[in-house]
Amino acid sequence: MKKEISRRAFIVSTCKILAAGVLMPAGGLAVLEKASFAENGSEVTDWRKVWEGKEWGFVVDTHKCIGCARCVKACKQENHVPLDKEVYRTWVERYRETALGVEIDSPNGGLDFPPLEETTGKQFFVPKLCNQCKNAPCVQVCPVGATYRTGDGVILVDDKRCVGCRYCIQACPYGARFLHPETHVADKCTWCYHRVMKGMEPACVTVCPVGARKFGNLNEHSEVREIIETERVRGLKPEKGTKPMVFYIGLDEVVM
Amino acid sequence: MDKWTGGESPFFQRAYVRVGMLLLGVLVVFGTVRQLSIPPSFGEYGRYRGDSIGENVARKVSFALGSDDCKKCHQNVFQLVMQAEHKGMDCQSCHGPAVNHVSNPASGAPKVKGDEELCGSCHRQIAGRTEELITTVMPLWHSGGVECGKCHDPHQPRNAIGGRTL
Amino acid sequence: MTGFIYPNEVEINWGLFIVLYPYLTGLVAGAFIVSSLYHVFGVTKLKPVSRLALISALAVLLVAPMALTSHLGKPLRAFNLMWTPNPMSAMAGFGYIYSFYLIIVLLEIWFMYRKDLVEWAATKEGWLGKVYNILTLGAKDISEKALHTDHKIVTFLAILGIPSAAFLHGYVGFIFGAIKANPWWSTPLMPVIFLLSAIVSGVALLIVIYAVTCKIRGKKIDFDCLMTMNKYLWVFLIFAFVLEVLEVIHMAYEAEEEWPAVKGLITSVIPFSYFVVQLGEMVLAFFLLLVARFRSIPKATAQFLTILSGVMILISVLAMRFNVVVGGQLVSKSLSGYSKFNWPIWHEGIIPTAGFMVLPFVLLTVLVLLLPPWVGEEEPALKPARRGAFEPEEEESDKPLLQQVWERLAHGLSWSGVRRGD
Repeated sequence: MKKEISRRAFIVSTCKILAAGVLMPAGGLAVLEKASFAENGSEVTDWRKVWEGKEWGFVVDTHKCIGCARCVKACKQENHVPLDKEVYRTWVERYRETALGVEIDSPNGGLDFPPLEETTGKQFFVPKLCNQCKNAPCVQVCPVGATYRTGDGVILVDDKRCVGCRYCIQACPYGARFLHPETHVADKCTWCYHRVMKGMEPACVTVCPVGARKFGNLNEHSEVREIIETERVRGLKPEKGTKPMVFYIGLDEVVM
Repeated sequence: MDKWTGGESPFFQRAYVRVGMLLLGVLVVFGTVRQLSIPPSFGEYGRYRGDSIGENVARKVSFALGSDDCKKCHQNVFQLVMQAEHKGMDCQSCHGPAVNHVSNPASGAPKVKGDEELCGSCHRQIAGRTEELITTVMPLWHSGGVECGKCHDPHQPRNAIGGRTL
Repeated sequence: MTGFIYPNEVEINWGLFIVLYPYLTGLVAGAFIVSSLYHVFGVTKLKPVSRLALISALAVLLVAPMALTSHLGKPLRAFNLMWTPNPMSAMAGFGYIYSFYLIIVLLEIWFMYRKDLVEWAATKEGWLGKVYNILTLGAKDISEKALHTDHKIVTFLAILGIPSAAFLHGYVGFIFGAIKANPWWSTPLMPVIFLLSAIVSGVALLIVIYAVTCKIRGKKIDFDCLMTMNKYLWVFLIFAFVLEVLEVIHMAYEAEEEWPAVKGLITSVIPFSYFVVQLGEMVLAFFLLLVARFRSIPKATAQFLTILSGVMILISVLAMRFNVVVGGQLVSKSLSGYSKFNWPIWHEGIIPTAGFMVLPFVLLTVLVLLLPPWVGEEEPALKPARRGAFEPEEEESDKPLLQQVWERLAHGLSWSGVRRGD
């Protein structure tokens, strides 16, 4: 037997193959990923304490919306979403009931509604944003745990862990998610969680000139809680079983 | 080779033992690398990286808290606005993100042009924008292309330049 | 873009690479099942392709994750799927299910080739001999007893491989079928449809690969083997077609809110690739495969028809993957309009996709040169009794297949029945 390998040689060569095949690329990746974890850590040590007694809710009054899309612009400015790309954390849809049926549009997310059109008939605007679903399909399908729902009810994206597979984008029934053109990871409305945690309102709520958007804590005596308790509200696509947390006042049947 | 013909080879020479050892090695290496690769804060609050919450919260704010921030310095303008139609609005609805200006007033004040593009985003007549909700105009028809700010003071929109109430 | 789509739906998020991924894993699953038909179910007529099937499965299996990884927004993070998989995610299983299946295929190939590896290691010179020597992992016992153990292990792996292959591909179907947001995907039939179309495409791939390799090597195609594949392709084709059509009929009959949107998709957005390429080619292949098995059809024509059907099925299943993956995304989740697919050239476009479709064949060539799957060729396979009559006809097989077919066609209808001396 000319080329018999000794056990030792076998183990050595096996280890070499393993080292080359698995350890190097995988270990290298692990180190690469870890290097970026340490930055930006917040001083909060236990988020459970922050979340205690909080459940955020959002109310949209479709009767009030005038389709000015200040929210769309402010959102992009606040959250570093490129203004010239067709991706939106929030957008405004317009519904017009015509003789031909319902016409829906949202040119450039509502920033570019053309002027001077037929203004009679049943016509209204519906602002859309992430519904922060209690039973969120996006969280369910994320293969790496890069998107999650916080204890106070906001779904966030871990942009250092997201692999950019876009399964969450497919899974969202509301079209609220997109792949960020610059970071190449999933992005979505967070109800401006970074603002809310600093005691501010979401940017879209701040800039809405007519008060069509309202945000607050459902566990306290807040305006949103009072609206939900007294008015007739509903979420979008209840049949999907996602339990959306954006409540619409005056939502028409034709709104998809 | 011949010496094993017909008999069983020593344990460590057997095919399935060899390949089994190789697999075991792969598994051990995989397990080790995996353990090293799971971020330390993963699983703190759920099946995600706990540090990610802090990172999300630490993101930079562009829009300031609201008009209350502006009021501190711009008392006069604030008083004007509070008396008129735009009183419910936040300054940043028109002026844009102001957090830099608030924290450092010397840095570029968020000035805006009162033109058709800005005012029109609310007051341009478009389908869906009904008169009950908001006063709308057809800009060209209304002013013949003259900039809105030439006649209207956005802070007191119905007071024209000559003091005439429109 | 027609009608209304949500503003974020302008971008088609899963493009050609994701079309390719279920296509490639489907070919793997199908090819593996062909090899298992021989190893587990004793379909001895498939012996000439049993090893080729496994080698082909491996070649394609190695390329599938490349397409998938290239599609990621952050390809370097691909291993996150293995480090922190989310057990609730259908996609998280990919890394593990794929790895498991890869190990099964590698093990099966290794045990199957072990005897040859030991012999090659002992006889081949130079670096090639060294490669074989390493591949033996030092297990050089090729005594009767050891080979008997190997054989048992191969059978066990082939058995284990069937549910694994079914799971791997059924699971790919689940990734799509479980998305309630998408009306064209969301059906419990999806995993079954994917599995059957996978088997169909895998058998078709083997038919084509077998024919091509025979031609390149100047060998005669084993007619019985080809016709056995014809038969299996035909049977699986029926199930695949029925399920694919049934799904749509069911949706149309229930006519729930999503039906108008789906109807618009298949009738006005992708009618050609759906009705003509996907379904039409299936129907045509069904008849061609059937005709090829008529007793009155001459052997060369039967071969040609079978191979032609194989090619058609390969295209049909590719169209099916496209219609599912891209088609599903063309329907707006608002059910009020359709996005547009712009056929990119470079970025996840036609050219790299074509590259990923050629790559398995490059790998296959390397693998075939390294591990020739024809070693057992001279050993007599079980002689099939029924088709024995086809055996003589030496004069034909000397000529290239296409030439034979051309001559057939040139002779027009004169082939009816006379060839078979009965």
